Amino acid sequence: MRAAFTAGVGAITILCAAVLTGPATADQSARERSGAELYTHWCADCHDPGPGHPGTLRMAGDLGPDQSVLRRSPLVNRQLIKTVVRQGFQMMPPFRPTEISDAELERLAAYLTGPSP
Amino acid sequence: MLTRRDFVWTSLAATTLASLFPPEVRAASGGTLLPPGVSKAAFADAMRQMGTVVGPSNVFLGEVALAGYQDHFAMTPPEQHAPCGAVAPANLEQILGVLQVAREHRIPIWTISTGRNFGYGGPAPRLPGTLVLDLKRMNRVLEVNETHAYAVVEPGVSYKDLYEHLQRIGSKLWIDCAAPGWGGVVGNLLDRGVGYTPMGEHFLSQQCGMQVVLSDGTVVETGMAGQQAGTAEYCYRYGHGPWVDGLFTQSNFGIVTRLGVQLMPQPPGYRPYMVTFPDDDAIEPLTEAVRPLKLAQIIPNAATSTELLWEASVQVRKDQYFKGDGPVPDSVRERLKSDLGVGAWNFYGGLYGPPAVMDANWRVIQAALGQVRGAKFFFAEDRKGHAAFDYREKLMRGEPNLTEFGTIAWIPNAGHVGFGPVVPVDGKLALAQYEMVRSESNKAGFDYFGEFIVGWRDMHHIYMPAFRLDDPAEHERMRGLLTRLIDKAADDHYGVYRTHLDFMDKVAGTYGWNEGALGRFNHRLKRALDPAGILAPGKSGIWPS
Repeated sequence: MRAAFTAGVGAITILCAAVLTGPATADQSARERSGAELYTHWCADCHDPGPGHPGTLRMAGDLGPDQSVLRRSPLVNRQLIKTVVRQGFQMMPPFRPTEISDAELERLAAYLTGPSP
Repeated sequence: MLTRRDFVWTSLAATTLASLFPPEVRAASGGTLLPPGVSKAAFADAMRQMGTVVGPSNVFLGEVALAGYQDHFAMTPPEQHAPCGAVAPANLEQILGVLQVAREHRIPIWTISTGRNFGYGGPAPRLPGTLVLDLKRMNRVLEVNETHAYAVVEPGVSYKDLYEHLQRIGSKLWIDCAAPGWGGVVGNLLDRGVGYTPMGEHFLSQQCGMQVVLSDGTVVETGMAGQQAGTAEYCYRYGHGPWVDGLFTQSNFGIVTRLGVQLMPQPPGYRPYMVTFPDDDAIEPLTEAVRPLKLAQIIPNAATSTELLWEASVQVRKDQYFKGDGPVPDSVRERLKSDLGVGAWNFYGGLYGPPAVMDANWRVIQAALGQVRGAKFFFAEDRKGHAAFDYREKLMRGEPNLTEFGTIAWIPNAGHVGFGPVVPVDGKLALAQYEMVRSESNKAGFDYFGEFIVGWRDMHHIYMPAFRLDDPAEHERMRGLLTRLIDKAADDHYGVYRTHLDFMDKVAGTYGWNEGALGRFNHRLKRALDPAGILAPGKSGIWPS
């Protein structure tokens, strides 16, 4: 989809919906994602168990191998999760509300600290 | 109010974590700054007006709300790159509204897409007191064209977003991503980042069509989209007349609000491979062997030679092998090679196409690389369970992941920073670069983390050292090291292709031929395209008048 904007006045004229072929426009944020889905999207690459996950590798060094997996770790609670996500912690940079909304962060923290499915 | 400085003490569990590290671990945030020359009342008025444009909940002010807009891996006090605030528009119309207010109040704006280029400054602005224009909410994949193999995306779309979208709709198209997969498709391309598939040179091979907003609110469609309704806007990038798209990469001449991204059709076959070499100086004959294979496109993807510690650090931590101070000694390097089954240099490439084509190419590649002493060849079945191979296998077919972030898990509480000189694909130059950077790095007390990436006719030497975030002395040593490396690279006529906020002026100064003609040319463009001087002051060393 392409829109033309006239300089200065900001008038908007929709010119065309120039989708040639293929699927329609998609918006990833249109559907509410569950805590598990948010974890998979934002956290799993770093914090899943096993090799190749930098957060897990680092936590094994700092806290020991038995405390290296973030999900359901006894060392974290919801408030800590929410604070670390927003403020960052050591090698982990923070995530902005434009990336993970406050509502999503609640679901994510609940998933991370909740019981196993 | 919970601050960045003391948040860790807000819960018992947190105290458990915090007790492991001294209080200096967490960088202090600066207080709220004002844009240069803007009064508190005028700034408040501007923020109120921007709030009416984007919605009050999408205006971020104050220390806590702005934590995510700072350079988390800063080597200087956070105040040096602290924003005055951030606004997050959801569409082009809102961007125009924000720009109008910024022009009227002369508030400088620093645009980010996903803001995750850590190692180069992340989401933080060059100039303290700049307002961050956060485009992450513009996260739509507007179109996927399976026939002509492209997508059209907004700036907030990350590699992971686009990859997941293509998976969800059953697309047979591959993306090409940077190694940390949380980066942005648009932001990385505009910073001229690279990836690892045959379309790894993002700007050269992927970019096709931009929508750009100039600081006066003019919206420009580049290339074929300059017509009223282009039919080939995402297939042919040049249109007619001067090709201007490059002006909006690593620059502050406009805000890119939409991008055509050409994608790679999934090939009929894919075989990733790895070749290890035991000798430190193998980078010279390896590079010589790679050059003709790249020029002929026998190796079609980004040919990557990874040094030992980069290879090791995505699998193990330094403390598992060495508890002393400073760089790991040679004895530890030998143990790492032996334990992990890796070389001093580790070459990664991919075969793509029908089996007969892959078989034919492999014979040529094996013969060429087999000339280098000690070469050992591996395919995926030989490296099962090896994290380093696993993430390269994903990268070379465009699956985002974060394994490479493990280079900063090497030591506790670390960040990293990038230094990237570019040289021709020449073995002697590669060896000289390696020896110089490793020597300087070790002298400064840091392990060498490096790789050489041959895109086609050029070679990026990527050096990404890890340093402690809680040690100001390391920050100072790292700044000194990078200063020396930039100077030495300039002395040897190696241009740096991309740099951290702290070094943008310095690197721009190394492109100073003919009394800085290139810089003066950029300055003339800046005056013409952004007369108000509000877009990203200082980006790439380009400042408003």
